[in-house]
Amino acid sequence: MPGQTFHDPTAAVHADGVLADVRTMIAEVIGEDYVSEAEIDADTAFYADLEIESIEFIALGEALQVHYGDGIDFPAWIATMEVDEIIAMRVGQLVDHITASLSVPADASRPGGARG
Amino acid sequence: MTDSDATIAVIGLGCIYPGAVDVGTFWRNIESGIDAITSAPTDRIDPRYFAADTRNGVDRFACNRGGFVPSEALNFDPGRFGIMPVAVDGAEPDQLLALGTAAAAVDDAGGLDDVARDRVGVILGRGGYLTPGLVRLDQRVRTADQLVDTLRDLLPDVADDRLLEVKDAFTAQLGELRPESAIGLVPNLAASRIANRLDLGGPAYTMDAACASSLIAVDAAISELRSGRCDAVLAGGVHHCHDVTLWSVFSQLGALSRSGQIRPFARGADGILVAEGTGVLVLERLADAERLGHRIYATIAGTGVASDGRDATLMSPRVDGQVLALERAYRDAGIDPDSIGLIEGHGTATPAGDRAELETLRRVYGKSDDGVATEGRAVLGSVKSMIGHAMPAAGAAGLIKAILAVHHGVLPPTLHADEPNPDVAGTRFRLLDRAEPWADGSGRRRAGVNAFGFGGINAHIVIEQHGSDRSRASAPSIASTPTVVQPIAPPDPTGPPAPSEPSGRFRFDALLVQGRDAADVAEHLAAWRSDPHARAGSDPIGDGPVRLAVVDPTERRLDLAARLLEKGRPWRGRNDIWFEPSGLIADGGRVAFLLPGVEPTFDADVTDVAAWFGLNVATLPEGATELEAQGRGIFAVGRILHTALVELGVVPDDIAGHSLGEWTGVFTAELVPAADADRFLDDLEPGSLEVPGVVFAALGCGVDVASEVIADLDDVVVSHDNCPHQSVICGPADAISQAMVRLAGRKIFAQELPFRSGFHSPAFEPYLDIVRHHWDRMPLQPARIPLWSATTCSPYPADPDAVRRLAADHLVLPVRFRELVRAMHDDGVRAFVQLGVGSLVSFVDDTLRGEEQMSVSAHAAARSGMDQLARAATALWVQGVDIDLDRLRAPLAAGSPLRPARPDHGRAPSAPTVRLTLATPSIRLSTRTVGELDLRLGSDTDAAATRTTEAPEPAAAGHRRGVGSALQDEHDLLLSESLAAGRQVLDARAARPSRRATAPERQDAPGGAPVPADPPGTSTREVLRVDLDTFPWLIDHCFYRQADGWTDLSDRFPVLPMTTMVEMLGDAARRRQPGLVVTRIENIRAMRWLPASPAVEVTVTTRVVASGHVEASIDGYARATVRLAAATPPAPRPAARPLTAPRPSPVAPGPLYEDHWMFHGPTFQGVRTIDALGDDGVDGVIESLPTPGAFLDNAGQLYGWWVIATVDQDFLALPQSIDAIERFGAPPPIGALVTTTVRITEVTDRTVRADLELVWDGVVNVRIAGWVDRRFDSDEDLWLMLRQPEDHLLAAIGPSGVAVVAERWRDSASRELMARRYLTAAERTTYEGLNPRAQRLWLLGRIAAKDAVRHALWDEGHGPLFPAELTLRDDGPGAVIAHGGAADGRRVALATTEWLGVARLTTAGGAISVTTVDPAPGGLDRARDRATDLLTIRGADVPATTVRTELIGPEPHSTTTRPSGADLRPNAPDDRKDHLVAWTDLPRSDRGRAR
Repeated sequence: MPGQTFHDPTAAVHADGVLADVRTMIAEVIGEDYVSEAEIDADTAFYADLEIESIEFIALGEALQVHYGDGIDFPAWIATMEVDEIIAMRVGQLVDHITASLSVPADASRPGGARG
Repeated sequence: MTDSDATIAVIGLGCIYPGAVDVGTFWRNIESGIDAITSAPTDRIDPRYFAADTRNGVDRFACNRGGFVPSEALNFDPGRFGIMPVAVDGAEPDQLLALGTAAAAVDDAGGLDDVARDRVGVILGRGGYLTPGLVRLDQRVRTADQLVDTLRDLLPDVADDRLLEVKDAFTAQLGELRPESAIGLVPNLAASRIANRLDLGGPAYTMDAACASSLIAVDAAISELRSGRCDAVLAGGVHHCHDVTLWSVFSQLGALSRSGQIRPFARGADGILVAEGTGVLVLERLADAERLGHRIYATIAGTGVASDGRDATLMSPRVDGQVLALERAYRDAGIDPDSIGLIEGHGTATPAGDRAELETLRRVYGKSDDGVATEGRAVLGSVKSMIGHAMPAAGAAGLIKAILAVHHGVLPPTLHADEPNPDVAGTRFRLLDRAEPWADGSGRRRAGVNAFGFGGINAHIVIEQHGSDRSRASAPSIASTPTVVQPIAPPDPTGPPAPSEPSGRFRFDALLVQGRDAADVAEHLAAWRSDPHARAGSDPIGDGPVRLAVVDPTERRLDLAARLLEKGRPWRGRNDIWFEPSGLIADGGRVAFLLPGVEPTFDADVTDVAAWFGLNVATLPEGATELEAQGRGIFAVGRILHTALVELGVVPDDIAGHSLGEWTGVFTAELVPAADADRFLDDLEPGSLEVPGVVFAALGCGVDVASEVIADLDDVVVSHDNCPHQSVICGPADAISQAMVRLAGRKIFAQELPFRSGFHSPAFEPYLDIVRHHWDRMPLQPARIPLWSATTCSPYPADPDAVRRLAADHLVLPVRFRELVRAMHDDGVRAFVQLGVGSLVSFVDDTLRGEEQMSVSAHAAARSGMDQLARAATALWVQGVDIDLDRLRAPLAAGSPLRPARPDHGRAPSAPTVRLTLATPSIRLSTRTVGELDLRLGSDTDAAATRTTEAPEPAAAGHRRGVGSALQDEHDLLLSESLAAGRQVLDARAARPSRRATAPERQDAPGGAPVPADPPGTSTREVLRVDLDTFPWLIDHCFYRQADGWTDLSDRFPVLPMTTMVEMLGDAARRRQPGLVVTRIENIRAMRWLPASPAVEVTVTTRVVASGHVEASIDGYARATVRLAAATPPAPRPAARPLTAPRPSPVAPGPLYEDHWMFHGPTFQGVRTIDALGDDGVDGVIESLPTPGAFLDNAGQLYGWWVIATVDQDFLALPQSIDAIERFGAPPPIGALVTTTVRITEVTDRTVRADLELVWDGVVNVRIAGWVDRRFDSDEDLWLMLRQPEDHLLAAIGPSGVAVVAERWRDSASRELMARRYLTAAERTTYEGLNPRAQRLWLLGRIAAKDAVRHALWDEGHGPLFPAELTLRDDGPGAVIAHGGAADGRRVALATTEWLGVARLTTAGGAISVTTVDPAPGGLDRARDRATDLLTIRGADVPATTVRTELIGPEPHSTTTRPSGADLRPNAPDDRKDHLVAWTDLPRSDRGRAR
């Protein structure tokens, strides 16, 4: 069920809305027909299930950025992941990231840089 | 002789002239009054000759206009005539143009198949002018020596060998000299080649009668025909010489039109314009022509030739001689001159020439008859008004014009004679400004043609309409003969062609359903699912135009398919399902093939596809990451997929490429004949075109945002507009980093790409000439399939030259892929098929989101080649393409011959051509060559002068440790002297801006006087030569140690330290701001190595931003911002934090240098103590050395030592950038001991960052913040090879003495590191001459062989031996002979695979081979067979019993230390397989017996 995988209980209510937003934006990017058939939920894998491609992923990120504004930093988040992680990414993870980003001050949600 | 024996028929015509590539165009131009005069193309005549400076008219011309043949005329098809393309280079171009024109004339005459070839002659007028081939030969043979003589006179001190280098550099610009070239310049070959190539046995010669040549050639031809010695003759003139010497002749005579217009018979005519061209007529006796039924344009009734005799002068033609020629012609013809309707005058448009000719006309044809109305008069004209004066070929132009006028019944116009020469009125002729019909009411049409040559040689020919024109249709042109169909499969360079085994794994498994509509399809689907027996086979189920395909039909997919059929909407590919209610292609959409360019990763593998379709395929380089390997890879993959798709029934309607893919497109569209495609790749070596210093970054945004982000960044451009969500920018690394920071701020994805080709940016411009050169030599033919350009977003042009231009220029112009896709879609393309790996499908989808289109890749790295190919075919089947499903079900039957892979689209191919070069460009040496030659006139030579002056500072030797030997002292003394002198040279050079300084130019006041500071905004450029004369101490800053006494310094790679460059930048800034001292140098970046051997000239640029603020750079190498003030700030107290976990250094300063942990020599050895090493830094003491830059370099050595001693791998670290260097007080005196602390602030994969404090006299003297060292790929093996190569091997030595070396450098930079370690300068030259793929293998072989020899010598007790001390010379295939000391004469057999080199000492006749072992059962046996075969190929004709083998595991790597060493783990990729080495030592002489 959507929402069950979320770690932050305070954001749970919020998360259902985020999932709906994400689903809408995925539909914009890859086409409504595909989304309605694919039954997007938190477990849906971007690559394995939706066969989303990198350009589509960027287009999705752009749509999210426009939708949520400065509260999230999609490119910076992706930059923290290995290629394998990106390939294995599920919709729920993205929703988690967005809800987490939106529920804490923007700076604190930034991933740490590679530099130590 | 009968009358018709004396009358000659013109049965064929061929020509090229300005504005015309053939007779048809020539005549249309004449009829329409086209002015074909143009300005001289700059590649034909250097514009300098048209400079306003008109000193004397000898070498500067007042007019730059003339008649030039169209560039299409220079496309020559050597294949048609059986000429080797290489021979084309050496031939005088006019010979080939004459050959082509003659062949066209023969074609026009119907082929002459009914005439005995041995009775056909060739007589061509051709002058002895300085034609392009001769000019090139003259430059090589005479001018080069003249140049050296002049230089020797000017620069008597320059050694002869330097001057010979100048000569070599000069002649090198002329290209390769081929032995066969010389014969190509013999002038009579213009005629002889025709006889030779067309197999004609009559007389064939050239003759020269200046401007009358063509007509006299025809006169001679007529004699041959009338005498019966020939049955047909090709006659005419050839002239392709726009040499400045010829222009000079007319310029000096004042005969070259100053107005730039040639106006024969016009008032105010002021001279000729020079032209070129070739015209050939095929002549036959009229009786024969009629008997054979040849088409007859017109007949030649008579000819007349006369010389002026004693009265001849150049300047004033003599009327008497001309009149005599005309009278003889009419006598010969038996025709009344009154009956002439058209005179094609010689018409030079010089006042004297026209005056004489008009007087001749008046005398021969009579005065104007007032009784005849103007329009009834005969017509006078000259084709020179349209094309200029083509000298010996001019007569043929006039003759062809007159013949066609008679033939067509048209009186053609003459240009620019609106106001006729008043003398025209005295003749019975008029001039026409537009064409008129030629009424033939009064008998046959007749015309007379004049040609009068220099020196008083006059000719006239009378032409008559042929009464009964029984022309026949001309025979088919030879040009339409199909060329031989060539297979496009690339050859396998590593061995004999062998198709790989068809893979048994692929099975076409897709459910294909057809129906009337979606509901019908759904019914078929449901029925199929309910009937288990139906599941076998993959024939389409049902019938109808609506199609569904499910690849690998799992239940889940079938459920999904059933659901989406209910909706009835298109479904294009997700979950391997395709459905189309109305096929895009079935509906009339077009299919386009997209060829990808370079990608960050290239892992295409189409071997199974090639096997399936029986195509021959070259092994693709494993793990190809280099541009070059990938260039070949994308090309090979594109061709194989293209062929496979066509075999399956997918024929593209359009082709487009992305970046380099456009070149693949050129080949798949067959703009270049398949047979020449490989040659192109072999020659080009795209990897060698890598542009240093520029970086690409892919951005997750469109071109608009990208442009905005980089708007103020210098030298950054948008190189690719891929789609709305991706663009690529290109520029210098630091500017790209800046852009990426901005993008991160805007939350836009940005990623630096791993390749640095600089393509599609101006950075590539310097390399473009090489590319253009290659394209100029490529034969081109019309495209079989339209190829779209991503530069113009439209199909490629038809004109071969425009194709060549676009194919080359697109590398410096942006890729407009988004617009291209849009344009193709607008034009009706509905299916896009990607032929290779890449993201083009995504780009299409993103660009055409929501539009009716489908895109699919025929290859995907994630699947096998056949799996993805089948998916693409299935997708296209759904769209209505008729796929040959049988071809997907079964591979090509075993044993089938290799198939020619070229698809035939039913379009007749036309002949490929080579571009002839008429240009004779001035020889210009490259800047680099000039720098290397470095000859200076005496007044400029400051280096030598300064070197002799006294060194002002005492030679400071106090820093040197006492080394006992006198030799060492002497060496030190020499070094310190040259050091002081060199330093002065540096100051003197830099203080005096060079003559090449750019505006605003400044001059320092003469020595001693106070110099004002440069005001803000001032820029100064100084040119500085970097070599070991100027920087002698760099001998102590060489990366590579070599044996003692090694003379070739370039083998040691002396490089300027970054700290020295920093010091130079500070000094340069200080000179712009006299009176101030440098307080701070910040934003320091080192961009690339600056080696001092061979010498290089660099530009030091300084720009004063404000008082005390100067931007300084060594252009292309390093830059920094320098802050200056009246005094340095007060020195702070030391503040470095204590070391964490301090411990003693494992190595003391002495061994640091003696054991080569540091490569530095004496003048750079300043680390005196290493007090403590900690987790976060190092403390030590350095001595202030006088060598420029050494002080800070020593601090850097201490820092570098921390990296070596502390970090596990990639510990070779070299300075890259420094945030800021602050100075307090005066520099410590030479010899001062300075306490130095290095504190590490960051360690990343690629870099180390540190802050440093240099403390002297109790206070901080220099503080350095943010010093970044770059870490280079280095493991213990490579490191040992760099440190102590004389005692170590890179190869592992097997139990049987086989040296095995694996390629562990994955990029070219690392490969270069080892190449420099192993190769001598001479070997590097050979190496650099190879294409990058060959370089890899060649290097592996050399390393293995050198290590095999070194190992053997060490076994025999030989001492240390550097790789460079051995030189290997080829001894047949797969073997070398070693030279150098004890190694002399030893023979080594060697072999390589893609990433492995093996070598073994052997005897004559011995050989070695290496091959991959297939892990599948039986793989080892097959490898043994193959290895033995390879030995046989290498000439070791051996029985199997003598072959010995050794298996090499997947990790063959280890470093062998002399005499023994640790076996270190390799870093070879995991997927590497076992290899089998096979060898035999059987001497050749034993072969027979052993059998």
